[in-house]
Amino acid sequence: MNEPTFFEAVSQTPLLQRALGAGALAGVSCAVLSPLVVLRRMAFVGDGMAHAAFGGIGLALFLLPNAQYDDLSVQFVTIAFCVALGVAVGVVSRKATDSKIAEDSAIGIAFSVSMALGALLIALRQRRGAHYVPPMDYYLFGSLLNIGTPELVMLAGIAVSVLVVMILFHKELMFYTFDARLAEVSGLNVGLFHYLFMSLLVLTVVISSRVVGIILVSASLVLPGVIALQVCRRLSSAMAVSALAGVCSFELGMYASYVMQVHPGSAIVLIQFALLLIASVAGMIGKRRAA
Amino acid sequence: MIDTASATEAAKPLIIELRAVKYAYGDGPNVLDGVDFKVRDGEFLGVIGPNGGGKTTLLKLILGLMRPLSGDVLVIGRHAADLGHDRRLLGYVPQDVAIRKQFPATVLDVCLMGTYASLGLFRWPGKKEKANARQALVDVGLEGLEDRSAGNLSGGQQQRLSIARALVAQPRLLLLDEPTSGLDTGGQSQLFTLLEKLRKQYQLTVVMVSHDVTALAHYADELACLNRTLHWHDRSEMISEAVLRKVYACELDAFFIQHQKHLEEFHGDQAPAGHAHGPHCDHDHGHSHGGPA
Repeated sequence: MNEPTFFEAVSQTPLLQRALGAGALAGVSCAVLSPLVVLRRMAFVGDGMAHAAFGGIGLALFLLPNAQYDDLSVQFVTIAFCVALGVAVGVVSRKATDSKIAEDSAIGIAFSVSMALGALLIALRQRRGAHYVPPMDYYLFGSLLNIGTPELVMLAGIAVSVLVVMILFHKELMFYTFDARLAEVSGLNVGLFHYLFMSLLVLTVVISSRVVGIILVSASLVLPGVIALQVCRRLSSAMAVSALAGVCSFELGMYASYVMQVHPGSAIVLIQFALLLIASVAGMIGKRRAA
Repeated sequence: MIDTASATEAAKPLIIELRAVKYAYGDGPNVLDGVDFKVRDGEFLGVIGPNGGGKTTLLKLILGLMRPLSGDVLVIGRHAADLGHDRRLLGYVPQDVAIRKQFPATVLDVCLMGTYASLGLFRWPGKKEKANARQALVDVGLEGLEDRSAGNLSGGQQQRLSIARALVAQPRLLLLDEPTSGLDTGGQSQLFTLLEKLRKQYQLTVVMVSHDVTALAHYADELACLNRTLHWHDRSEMISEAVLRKVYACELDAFFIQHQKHLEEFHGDQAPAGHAHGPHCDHDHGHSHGGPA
């Protein structure tokens, strides 16, 4: 008997349909934020936050001995942990001249300590053995092929929130990203938009990493934005191209993973990298034509 | 003539007023120590002073980014830090105007940013704003470049774009922080000529902080030397070599001869020799206190 093709498999398997939907939603949320993350030079912040989420999951599982990995309470503790860590990094590195720890070092420390803490607490929780706790690579690479309706709803919620905020506050976020000091001087409430953007980033990271894994979230916060910035001359088009690159890489990656029988995460990241190479060439050709 | 002039001056509204302003960072020494000054509508004030003399602090206070430890900083009659949406009345051209090459915005996009604060939330630049922005770009000499990537402009063009962005908000006051630092001599004189034109066209009050004593003495109506305290000259004061020596003892002795030559060239055909708006700086206060770095 022949193996069903990808499309036959999708039409027959609700699990695969949900995986494609979840991938598209996580891809859009991360990718729409990505140009701003890249332009604000926050690639490392996004990366750090994604890894900090792992510490949050470990802490939640340890503190809530009866909670399942996919319980809502675990998500809340993770979000709280990421926010607390984000604030701590901000406070430690705030006054660059007064602080002995620079921001990137502070993020590096928060990132590795969270990973270590997460691994330790998850191991301790596993040893108690009351409930099944998935092994570490489950968090790193996610579980695209094991998604229920609640996760899908949360992903849809965050995707819609990201899109709505980006459309409604496009001009403010653009000015804030262009030059936060100038935006403040001109009378914009920069603090408000900073926290709005950071909260969206934390929520996107925590909710998406549960589904697509920490590594894929850090990749998707950087690569689609860089891809878009190679070819776009305006922020609105950069966000659209970035979103398209995000969705395409997730869907193509899942197709490739089905055909080649490999994990979707690695296929998605490599497709994003291939798109970046194509976009760089296209960008160079475009520039030469313009010149 | 001077009397009539000062009578009209006094009638002009105050744009900036500082009363006994003190400021210090943390537990450090006072960076500003009892600074008083007034800038009236339409004036062009140049502020010179050594590094660490408090020039940047003064700008931040006027922009309302910080509050003074004591004293008042009033802009258009209100506390600078409480201006809220009226901050758009302050056009600010920062020292570093460089736009990242990769930033995805056209020249028109960047200019339109000047309208964002006054538009408020959920409103987008419409025909009127776009027309104003195009006009501002024409006024600073960037016509025809509207659709270019802003990051691809030259340094001088980016500075003019920054001025256009400030102008499009229709400010009453234009604050410029070291605008001549990245420009060659030709670029500097172009900038001053442009500012002269814009000042009249947009009825602006201009405050420029700069190291460029020579150029400021050329173009500014008044010159103040800031080194922890402000040394302010009297408009009717006769300029003399002794006064000039005092000013430059604040900072740049070496510029003395060059500066005087410029003054003679500039005022030679307009005013009797020695009668000009001159800088005044009390040497004792200016130098011996030595502001923190």
